[in-house]
Amino acid sequence: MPTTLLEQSSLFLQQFVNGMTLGSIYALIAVGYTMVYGVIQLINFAHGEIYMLGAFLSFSLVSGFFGVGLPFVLAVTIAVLVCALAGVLLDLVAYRPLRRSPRLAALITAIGMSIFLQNLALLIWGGQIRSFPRAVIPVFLFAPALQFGEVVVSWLQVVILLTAVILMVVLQLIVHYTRLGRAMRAIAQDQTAAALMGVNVDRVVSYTFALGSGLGGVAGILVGLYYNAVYPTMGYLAGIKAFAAAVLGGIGSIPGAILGGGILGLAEVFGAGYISSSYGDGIAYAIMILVILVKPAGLFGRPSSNKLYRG
Amino acid sequence: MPLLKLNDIHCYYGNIHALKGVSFEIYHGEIRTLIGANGAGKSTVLMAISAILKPRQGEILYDGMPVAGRAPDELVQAGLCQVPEGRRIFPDMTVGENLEMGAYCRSGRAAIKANLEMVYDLFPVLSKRRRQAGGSLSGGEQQMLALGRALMSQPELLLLDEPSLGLAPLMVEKIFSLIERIAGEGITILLVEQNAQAALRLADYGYVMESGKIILEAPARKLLQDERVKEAYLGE
Repeated sequence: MPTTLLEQSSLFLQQFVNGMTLGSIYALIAVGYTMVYGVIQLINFAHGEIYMLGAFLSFSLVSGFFGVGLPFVLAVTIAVLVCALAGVLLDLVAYRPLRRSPRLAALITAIGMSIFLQNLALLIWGGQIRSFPRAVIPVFLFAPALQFGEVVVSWLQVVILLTAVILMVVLQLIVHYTRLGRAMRAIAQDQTAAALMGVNVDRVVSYTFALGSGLGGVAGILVGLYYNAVYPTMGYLAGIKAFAAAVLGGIGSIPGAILGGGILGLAEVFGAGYISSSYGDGIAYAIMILVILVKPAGLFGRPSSNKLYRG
Repeated sequence: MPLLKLNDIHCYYGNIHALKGVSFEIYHGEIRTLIGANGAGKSTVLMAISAILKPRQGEILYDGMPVAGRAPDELVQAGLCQVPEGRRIFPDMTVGENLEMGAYCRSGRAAIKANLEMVYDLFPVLSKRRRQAGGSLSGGEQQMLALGRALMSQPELLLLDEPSLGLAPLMVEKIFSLIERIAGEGITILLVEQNAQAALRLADYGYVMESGKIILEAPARKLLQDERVKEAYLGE
């Protein structure tokens, strides 16, 4: 155990950096849950598998798993685009046919798709843990970017934080200042009224899945690099935690998901660091249960008003 | 040729037979009204016209073209716009954003901006509140916002569902005089109302609906004098 004040504060600082890194990844995933929930009131439980797909695709494309190894940046770009497309397909195949069915039907389907995609990954990539071959990843990522005393911030952590911040800013700009964003908000507030104003609801829902899944894919790639471990069930726990983050922030609220992701990442790392490393995962669940008990609408959510119009 | 024609429309909610063969038409420049009690199927008629609900039987022609198979957004582009029951403005968007949603299907910044100024002229109170959230407006103001939003789509045919619902008598009067002004601009109006008196005073022609059917139709002035209408809907 660290004893001096200096050691204690540098431990704290190191945990803070690690927590923020993890938090930005949770935020990237949580935003996908919350965006989809916002437009179609569905918890897309297969979202964690899209994140897993992002990790596997980028791993496969850089390491030559499919026969050819691509340059890192190209591989990552393709992986994100394929994730976006996979999200759109997921909606098209699994959820759209159930749009007018009771919500529970779509929810169960989402769980089913999650299991299906995990097993598909198992079939393609096998069950062993894969890691990115060091040779194909830009070396600088593992070098320290900042170092003061015992505290080390790696370039990869800087990249993760910056990527998350930039993407969240871009997302907010899209949601607030573009035609697509306005249509997304309109659907979230009143789907029928949006359709009556001429919003093509199906198309906007597709774009929403594309955006959310693309961000989930980015998170998968970043985690694959950060922990250097890619495996078929990696989306399960990360997905549940990001879902907890979205609930904490108020499901449906994008700023809420970002804040919730940050809080959850910090809580998990500090919990693991100061209480016990085996409590890391439990903390996410404890937070989710607490939120549901104390403030079910979350930090930024509001008791849904448009339920009034839903039959 | 009528601007809108419904021919023997049947609609269902699950097993409930909500519309049992509704037929009517409306010509360019007219105001026609559909009156009847709560649950008679009036709103269902409008949802079928806007292609939100698919009739199981019958045909709806807008401007001579079938509505079936067209998406709601295509109809908006073709000039058919609905102000739904309960106004259903977007509560978390500003008044300005709500109005811009009305012009969602249009292109041409300049034309939209001119239209926006026209709406602000017609509803000065909206101009004052343009940066305020739609949900913070009073009921009457929200109804004006819903009307203004629909006008932003440059409609040829406006479907109005219960514009007087939940408004104080003075505000009802104001909304109806605004509807009259909108009609004066050459916009055809189909008005669904429970406030039969106000609706029939405004309209050229009226239909009375009861449990999914049109049971009576006549020029509005005649319906105002009709004994059955007086007794059932005008409270006399």
